Amino acid sequence: MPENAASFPKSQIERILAESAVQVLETMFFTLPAEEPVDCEPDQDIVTCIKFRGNPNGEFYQRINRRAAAELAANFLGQDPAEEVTEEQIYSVTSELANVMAGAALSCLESDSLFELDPPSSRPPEFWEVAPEAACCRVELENGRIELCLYLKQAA
Amino acid sequence: MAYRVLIVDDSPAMRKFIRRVIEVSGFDCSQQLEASNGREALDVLSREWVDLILTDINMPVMNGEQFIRELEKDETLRQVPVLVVSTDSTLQRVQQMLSLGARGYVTKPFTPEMLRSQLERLLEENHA
Repeated sequence: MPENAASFPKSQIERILAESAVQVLETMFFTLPAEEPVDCEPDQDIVTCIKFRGNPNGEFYQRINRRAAAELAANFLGQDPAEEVTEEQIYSVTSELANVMAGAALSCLESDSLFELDPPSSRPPEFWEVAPEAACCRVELENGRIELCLYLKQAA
Repeated sequence: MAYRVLIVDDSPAMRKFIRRVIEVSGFDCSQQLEASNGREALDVLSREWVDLILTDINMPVMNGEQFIRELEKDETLRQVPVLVVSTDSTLQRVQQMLSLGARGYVTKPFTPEMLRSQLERLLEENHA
């Protein structure tokens, strides 16, 4: 009988989130995590949310600082890092990053059942409102950091 | 022999990424056509012949599942091999898409080598 991912220990979900994030960053964004937190100038954050339906339902949140997002976008699109990526490209790639991150983590957590991801929605940084029960992880990058949270709703 | 490929994904960034991955992988591709959902892809296929289709699943207007069902209804289009490229790697989803008619399945994240090997396998099988 498959176990519902909402019953997994929070630490296990956080480990899966972190491992999925590193795999996605390395494979498709050609970026290795930084070993130590890097001092960054204050920067604007980009927040992306994806609601999903499965066993169980829930929400995935991603927060990344703009400078790191711009570098990931340049890597993903194969553009010269010196070339200015447009705001539209940054948001498009940031949404895709969240989509792949969420899919990779949920494929591990909900491997015995189907799940559906809603389209990613970008939010202003002040709308970073994550439930206290959510499992979260943080990956340090050369130009900032990315934070991921997964909130699995308990069945009613 | 150079092949014509149709990439179906609602994300322009992902379409560009797949285009680039196909190029750097060394896969012999003469033309890459694009569509942002299954409906647009059917429009493209009404005008153009392609050797291979890569499609996402989660898309607005017509998703990957509906798109493959439409392809399977057409005697000509059902001969074109379809490779699903999705974030969803659950066994149920893979089995569902293969049973509908997809010939291969690649999970995001993927490397250029993974994509190339799938593309070559599908074309070899189709020309066997």
